[in-house]
Amino acid sequence: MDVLSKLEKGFLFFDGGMGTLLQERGLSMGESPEEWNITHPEQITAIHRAYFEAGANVVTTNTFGANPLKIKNVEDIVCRAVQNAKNAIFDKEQYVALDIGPTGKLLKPLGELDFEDAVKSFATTVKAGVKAGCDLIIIETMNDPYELKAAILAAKENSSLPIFATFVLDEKGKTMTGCDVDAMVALLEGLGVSALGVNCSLGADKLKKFVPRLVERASIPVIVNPNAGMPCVCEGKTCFDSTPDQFLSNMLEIANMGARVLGGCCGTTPEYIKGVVDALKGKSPKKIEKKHLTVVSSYTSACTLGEKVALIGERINPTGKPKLKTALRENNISYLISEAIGQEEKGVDMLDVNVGLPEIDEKAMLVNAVKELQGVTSLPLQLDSSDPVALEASMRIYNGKPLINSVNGKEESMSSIFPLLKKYGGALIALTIDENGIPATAEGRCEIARKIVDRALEYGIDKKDIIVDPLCLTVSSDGTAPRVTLDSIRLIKERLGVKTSLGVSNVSFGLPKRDFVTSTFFSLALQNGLDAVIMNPYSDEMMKIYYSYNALMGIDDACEKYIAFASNDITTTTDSQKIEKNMTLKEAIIKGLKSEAKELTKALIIDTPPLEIVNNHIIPALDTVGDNYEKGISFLPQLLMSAETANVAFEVVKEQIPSSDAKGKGGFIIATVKGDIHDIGKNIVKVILQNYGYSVHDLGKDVSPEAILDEVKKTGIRLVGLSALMTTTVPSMEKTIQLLKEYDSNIKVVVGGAVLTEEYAKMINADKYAKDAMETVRYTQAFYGE
Amino acid sequence: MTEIRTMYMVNNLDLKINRKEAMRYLRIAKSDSITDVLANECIKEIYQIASPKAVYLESEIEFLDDDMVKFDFMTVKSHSLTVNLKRCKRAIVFSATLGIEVDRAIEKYSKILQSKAAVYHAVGSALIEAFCNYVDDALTENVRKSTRRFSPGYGDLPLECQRDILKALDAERKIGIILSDSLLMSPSKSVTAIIGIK
Repeated sequence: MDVLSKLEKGFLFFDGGMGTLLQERGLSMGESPEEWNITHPEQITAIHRAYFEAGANVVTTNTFGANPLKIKNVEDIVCRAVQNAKNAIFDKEQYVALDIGPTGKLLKPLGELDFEDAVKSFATTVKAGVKAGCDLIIIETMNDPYELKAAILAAKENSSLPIFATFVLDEKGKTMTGCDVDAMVALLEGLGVSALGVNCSLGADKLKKFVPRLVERASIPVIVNPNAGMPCVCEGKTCFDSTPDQFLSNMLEIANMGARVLGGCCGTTPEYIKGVVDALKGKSPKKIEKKHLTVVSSYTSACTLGEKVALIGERINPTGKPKLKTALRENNISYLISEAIGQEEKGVDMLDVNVGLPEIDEKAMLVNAVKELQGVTSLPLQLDSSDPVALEASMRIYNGKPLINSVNGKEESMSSIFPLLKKYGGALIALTIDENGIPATAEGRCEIARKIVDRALEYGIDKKDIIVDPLCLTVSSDGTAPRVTLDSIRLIKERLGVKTSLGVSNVSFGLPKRDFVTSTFFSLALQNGLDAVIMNPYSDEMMKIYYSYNALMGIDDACEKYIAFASNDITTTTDSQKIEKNMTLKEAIIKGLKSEAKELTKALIIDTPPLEIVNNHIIPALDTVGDNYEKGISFLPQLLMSAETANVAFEVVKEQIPSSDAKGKGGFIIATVKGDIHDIGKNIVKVILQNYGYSVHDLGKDVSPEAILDEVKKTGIRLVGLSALMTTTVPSMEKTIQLLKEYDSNIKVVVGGAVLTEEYAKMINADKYAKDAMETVRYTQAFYGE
Repeated sequence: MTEIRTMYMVNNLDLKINRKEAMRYLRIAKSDSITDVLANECIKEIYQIASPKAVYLESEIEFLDDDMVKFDFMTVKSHSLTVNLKRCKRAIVFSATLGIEVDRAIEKYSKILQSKAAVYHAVGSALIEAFCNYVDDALTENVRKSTRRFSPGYGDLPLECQRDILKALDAERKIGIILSDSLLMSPSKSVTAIIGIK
């Protein structure tokens, strides 16, 4: 019987810890346990055998750290490990699971490891395990959902074996990267694993607290492999559960809660496992209920569609937004990020990301935008593109279970999108349009919806992951349109039992005071059962409807959220000083008052040429602040606040400057060198330089010497700034300088960073050591002969 | 086998952030209203998102020739450490972190509001120091200890021993600290330290 059939029939028991048993048998501190597969195979087999004899159905190979990023001879180790495990089998219904643990490296953007490199690394282990003949794959002790996704993709792309996945929770019920149970379950079910659960870190007593939530959310078998219980000091008290009896009683409770796959982790031994197996002999696990939850997730949290309508912020979409179009053409990711965070602060549940412009590389831009956005917001994203290539690339690197916009009733669309969803997971917006266009009746739209849902099922996609958008046409060109849409929503929900969504803005196109019509339509749609809406969260009318509706429908407990919304004061929190009468722009910038600066610039621009504003108002303000900073009268936060305020003024001015005049004064290439991922100093220098009008080419962090040279060659800029935080990365700086000088001795390099001094700078042949941003600015001004 | 134990904060508010120290990290002599506002925001946020955790063990120490100090899990050459651990027979070695959420917040602000990112950095440094003091005090309540805790990179204690310490503590598995090839710890607000016990 294969392992999945066994799992269907009843409990499946996993083995316990390996590390402690190896240490008992002589493994010394610092020795790699995986090497023992080769040096002490009989010991390994003996341990596996002991677990089988205790009643475990599955043993996990001694390959926890066997990935190319940690050890050299992966294929050899894995092959032996699987062999050692197979040698312990003496009965049928005993299975060998290839054990895959974390890479030990943190993934980008917070770490150095690239997602695809992680996938490749895991793939090496998977391939070796498959070749050696394991029965299933278990990916365990994972803290980072992104790394977990990389491992599962590697498993799916290199084998057809069942995949089990377990992650680690801390006392607060989250992984160490801050991901909660709901988000993990969404991710893992979306990726199609056969069983999921938790292991390690906590003992059975602490872990059992989280099992009910796992069972409540998952429609697949739940795995629980706790530690025996480590001694832990909490508020001065030592607590632990480490006896087999305590473990057993907790595990029985856990089984009763509905977990079906049971085993142990650190500190457990065959004795622990035997206790659990014997106690559950002849007993059946709880039946697994299929959950009909429509969920999407980010790297930390999940958004479940339900009673309350989900708000999808629509602002990151170039249609009708000239500023965004410009930002996309200039690759100005900061603009996208501020749009994202602004919408998040307005209270949306998800963010639409659409970067479709004909003149740009949509795939590259969408991937980059998603990577950046998922690094700064914990809201789930809606990946919005009509290009399946761009969609696939973004779905691959998305950290979580995304919402996909969209599929429609055309055969071409369904056959290209459904396989992507099956592979990468997600929930899918389905538009009721097919080869014959958009049906004029609700019946017609419902039919297309049915077609899509049925077809999706053929790919193994459950209707809980399909969200139907019956489309909403403009009322000013077709008076019957809104009614048809509203009827469609109702009909589709009744007949098909799927969730619905709409992009409501379209209904009011061409009418004055569009907001009134859009928001009223929104409330009608809500009444008909709308589950998600793509909208503009800056629209007061829309938000009024949202909060009022929830209060009226009893979804907002004691009208709490409505009251908070209605009493909201709209003053900005970062400006702590009162507006003084007759304040000049220069003063506003020096004081860091952003909204005042914006208003003052707008007033000035009416009768003052833009460049005069820059040279006579903004730059002098920055000079004053810079001066004060150098003198020690004001400090870094003021410098930055003023720089940010100057930027606000610049934005207003830029709109007036014809594009040919908007070129920067001179270029400056800046980077944090290879091996270093700290960039706050570099970012500060960048902001200040930009405010002085220089065009800064920021290569980011962990940048190789070759990449910096490439940029010099590409742009012709001869002034380079390098930043490094640690003594260990100064050699990278040295190498970079050497490479640049060899190419062209006229290139000037200015260096900075916590670890640097005049001495170091001389040693590595830098042209200037700048102790702060202002020194860099002065040097740059001198370089360009000002 | 050396026993490794973990410690975590139940209530972050039990750690008091030393504002003066935070300002010191920003190289500010005296704070002003702009910085205060930012600092207040950062402090409020960091209390909500930080998850301070520590992992520690106790080791015998032996002083060998040539400024070599021998722990149970490593031997390291350092004159400064030898002086710091004078007359100590054992040492507590610990590693502490605020967790990766703090890094995420700093990363987010560094993309949209540099000023806040700079202050957040400073507040984060002040909080991890406060946590280290908490851990230090909790672990050395009734013992006489060395004058101050010593970390890799201090004096002539080589940064490289960071690897041995984190491995011995199983820090990656226990509290999620990952060391890059260039010996940078992630999460960035993390500290490892040695406290001598007399």
